[in-house]
Amino acid sequence: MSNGVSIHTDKRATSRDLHNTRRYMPFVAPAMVVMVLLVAVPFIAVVLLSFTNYELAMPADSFKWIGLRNYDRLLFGTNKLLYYSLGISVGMMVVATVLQMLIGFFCASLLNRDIKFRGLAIACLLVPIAMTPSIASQIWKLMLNAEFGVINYFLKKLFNFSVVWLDKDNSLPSVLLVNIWSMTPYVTLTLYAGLRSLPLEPYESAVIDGANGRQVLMYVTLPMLKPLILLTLLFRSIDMLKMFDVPDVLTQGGPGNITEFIGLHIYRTGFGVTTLVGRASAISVILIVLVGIISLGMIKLMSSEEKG
Amino acid sequence: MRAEEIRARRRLMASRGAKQTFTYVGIILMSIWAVFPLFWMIIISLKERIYTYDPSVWIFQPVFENYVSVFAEKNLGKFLINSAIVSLSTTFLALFFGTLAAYGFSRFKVKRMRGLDL
Repeated sequence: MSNGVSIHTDKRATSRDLHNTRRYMPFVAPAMVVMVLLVAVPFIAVVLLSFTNYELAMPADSFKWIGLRNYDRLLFGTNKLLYYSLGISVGMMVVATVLQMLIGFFCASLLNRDIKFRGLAIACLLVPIAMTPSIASQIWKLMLNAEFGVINYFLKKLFNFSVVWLDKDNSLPSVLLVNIWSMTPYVTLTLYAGLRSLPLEPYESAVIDGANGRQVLMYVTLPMLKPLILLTLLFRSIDMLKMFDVPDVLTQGGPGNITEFIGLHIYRTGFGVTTLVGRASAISVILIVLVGIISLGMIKLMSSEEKG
Repeated sequence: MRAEEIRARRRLMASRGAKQTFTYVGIILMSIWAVFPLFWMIIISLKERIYTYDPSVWIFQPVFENYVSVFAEKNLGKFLINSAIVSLSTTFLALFFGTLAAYGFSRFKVKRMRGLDL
């Protein structure tokens, strides 16, 4: 017995000399250099640009430092589009994430039952993950076409009505629909892998104690799956907040500004409708702060769940 | 007593059958929902151009002119090679730097890493 234990002793814990000398540096340094070049430098550049009046193709001598004026105009100016964009982005983040998690968990528990053709079903679920989001959005745009789309064709045949999918009332739900299509399989497969890895003993004892299906779900499955659910929730919400490709292809932010999510708003301010790169950088900084606050809150929640 | 037992068992079997039907209907709906855009993409790629905006045509003679023209006119081979170059080289570079860093973090103790390992 004691032999078996000593084999598994962690070598890292006993070799103290490795702690003080920075012998890890030659291994970590290349990755650090890459990260600094590709993450830190652009980040600092965006923060600096947000304090300037930089525009595309502007004469060099009118380029100057304008302090907080970009932020002032964005937050307290007459154009309230920033607040609208942030509002629909946060709303879409909440609604889409909740729906994706619910549908994903439901599909994962269906997959986890004793069924045939599970491999085939999983292969089908891989299709939305494998397709490039912008190409998939093009196909959805074609399918959602009000007069010549296949979805309205089916609706007319089966229920005798049709929907103008991309008009001012329905474009937000359409973006939500395509998002759910493209992202739910990811949640499903993650949660399915989580369900598969759970130990069987708690289920056995729950059945012996006479728990019904709902009680098993509430008091056995969900508590054991909680860390994975919270992690998926974190990734999905951040991903939803910076969503760009689906609304860009499907509606280009239109009709009007109805589907101009924050990512599209940055793009259209900096490189589309106007070329105010400085102001677009300021919006980016606001978005970074928002994402930081949300992820910090969720990481706090996760670590407090782990402790308590 | 015995008849009641049989009835209870039958009810259990029926509910199990209903549950299984529900499971399979759910799985099939989920799979169709996930695959349909790809299916529609393939259908359109095999149709003649004038039928692209006509979803009511289901029976048609498949044509391969679209597949021929992307290679002959649109230079698809070049684009595939571009994708291969970018994906292979980024995978190689990311694996190289990532493996080095992961080895460094796991083999040696890094003071500031404490509490960060998930």
